[in-house]
Amino acid sequence: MMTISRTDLERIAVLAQLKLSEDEADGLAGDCQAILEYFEIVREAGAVESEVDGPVGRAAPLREDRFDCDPLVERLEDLAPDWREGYFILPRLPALDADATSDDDDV
Amino acid sequence: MAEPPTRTTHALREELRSRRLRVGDLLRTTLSAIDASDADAAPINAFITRGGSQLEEQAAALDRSFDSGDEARPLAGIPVAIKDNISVRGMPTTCASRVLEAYEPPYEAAAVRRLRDAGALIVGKTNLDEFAMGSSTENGAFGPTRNPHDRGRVPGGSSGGSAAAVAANLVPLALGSDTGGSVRQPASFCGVVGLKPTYGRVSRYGLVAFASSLDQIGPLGRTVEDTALLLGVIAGRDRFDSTCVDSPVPDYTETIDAGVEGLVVGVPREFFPEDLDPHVEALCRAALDRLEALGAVIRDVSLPNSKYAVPAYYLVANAEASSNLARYDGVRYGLRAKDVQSAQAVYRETRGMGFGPEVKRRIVLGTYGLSAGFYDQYYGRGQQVRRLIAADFEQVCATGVDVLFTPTVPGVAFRLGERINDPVQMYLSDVFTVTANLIGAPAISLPIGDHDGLPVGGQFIGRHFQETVVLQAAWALESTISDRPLTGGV
Repeated sequence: MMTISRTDLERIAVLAQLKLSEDEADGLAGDCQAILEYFEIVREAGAVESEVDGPVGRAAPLREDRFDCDPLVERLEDLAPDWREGYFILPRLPALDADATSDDDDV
Repeated sequence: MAEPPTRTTHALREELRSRRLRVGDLLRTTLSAIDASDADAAPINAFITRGGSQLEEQAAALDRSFDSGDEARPLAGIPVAIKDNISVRGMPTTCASRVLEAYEPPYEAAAVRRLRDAGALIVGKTNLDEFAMGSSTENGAFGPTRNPHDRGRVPGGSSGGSAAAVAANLVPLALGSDTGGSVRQPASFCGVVGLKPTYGRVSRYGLVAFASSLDQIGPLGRTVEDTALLLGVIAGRDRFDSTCVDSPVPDYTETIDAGVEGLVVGVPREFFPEDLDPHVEALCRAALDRLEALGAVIRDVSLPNSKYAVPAYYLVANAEASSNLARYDGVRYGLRAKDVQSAQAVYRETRGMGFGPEVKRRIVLGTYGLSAGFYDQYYGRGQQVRRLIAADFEQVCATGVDVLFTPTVPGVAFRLGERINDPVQMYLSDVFTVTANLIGAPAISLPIGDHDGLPVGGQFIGRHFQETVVLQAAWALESTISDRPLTGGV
């Protein structure tokens, strides 16, 4: 029977880009273990070629579990020419104003 | 306050056309009823968002159109509620999640666009389990929805808000979404009719994706005929959804009273286990007796692999959910974590604070099932079992069975909070509904009686794109039930 440890859970949380509190991680480890135990019943089912594998095997190889390092070594706002309330401030494109005029004309 | 309309959609249409009822009056009583349903100490809480002032203008335009005799659209003036994971222009789409805080879609779902084209009034967005993940409508950021028949009980889920709104006579029609039973299970708990169309029958453009190989938008109504009418409006090919099939849409209401003479109804024995609630079993057996009296042929059949349906469903659905929900990263939609130092931290913090416990549980399980070394054991195995269940169904159909009949849910609505901390028990609420999603077949739940005042639903499952047959069987059974609960007592 498969088990899911606290270490497994932390690894999965990183892959899922999900921050979990200590309490959440403890609760989830127990819940997931109970659910996976229940899922074990599918092993009793007969074999069949699945739509995923197909008759000639899997077309594309599976990638490894990997979370690429964050390429940003500086704070986002330090990279921005202008920054307000969590957003980059960019020069307004004249085309947007042209579109707005066009939309108004349509109305 | 005026009493909310308790008539069926067909009766309301007749009253509107004959001008005994004006759209403006119907709209005002509907909105008043929605407000009143939440003014109680134990509010139903069916709606997350209520329509605004533009509805009055739409109603006035519809009244002018009726007055001039020009209005002939199928849902002209009919109030319809939309589950809040379906995009409606001009209203927020929350999916009952903090992670979509303040998000307003810039476009409209194809099904909603078709409703508007048919003259419907979109009166609000209904409550749900967060991202449609749940069976009780307790897992959301906006509080639980209560069952109109007993406010201490759940309405089912995840389309609990839509089912409760119809059951409480707040609206005659609503849209839900059904990934593993999320239209049919709440329809059963609330005593209304709910249908999951064949995969590909209704466009999912504008439906927030949960598990893409299983999701379908489905109609809910007070009667089988009303539900058929709504299905006919939203069904059909849509160029914005490549999974939506280009297959003719019949007039589902035209032949709905064709009867069941000679119809072969399969009764899968695995759906009547020893531990089935005896009241539910008795009502299902009585329903089968009535079908037989109408001329249907009742046949015992077997779907041996359906005992694996719930774990197979959750293995597939959670894997797809973990992939679909990767897009909620604090950059593209709604909520964004503040005062964090890197892009990765924005993603992790936003998702950590934005998702609720059930969504996190499913993302973790789905990611685990797709991770290296576990893919074949979990996601791959789920897909294999799915093929076995589909083969069982095909084999039964090949023997001449037209539809299957089963209980919709093993019991009646459970109490609020009763299963919230027991995910496996919660998942087992879907034990009779997930099969139709796994094989992509149409299925309907309709009320077949009650136990101690709580509705019990029966389910027909049909062959692919045979919604007409499913609706005919349901209409025939409904016509034999005179004491079905039409109102939730608001």
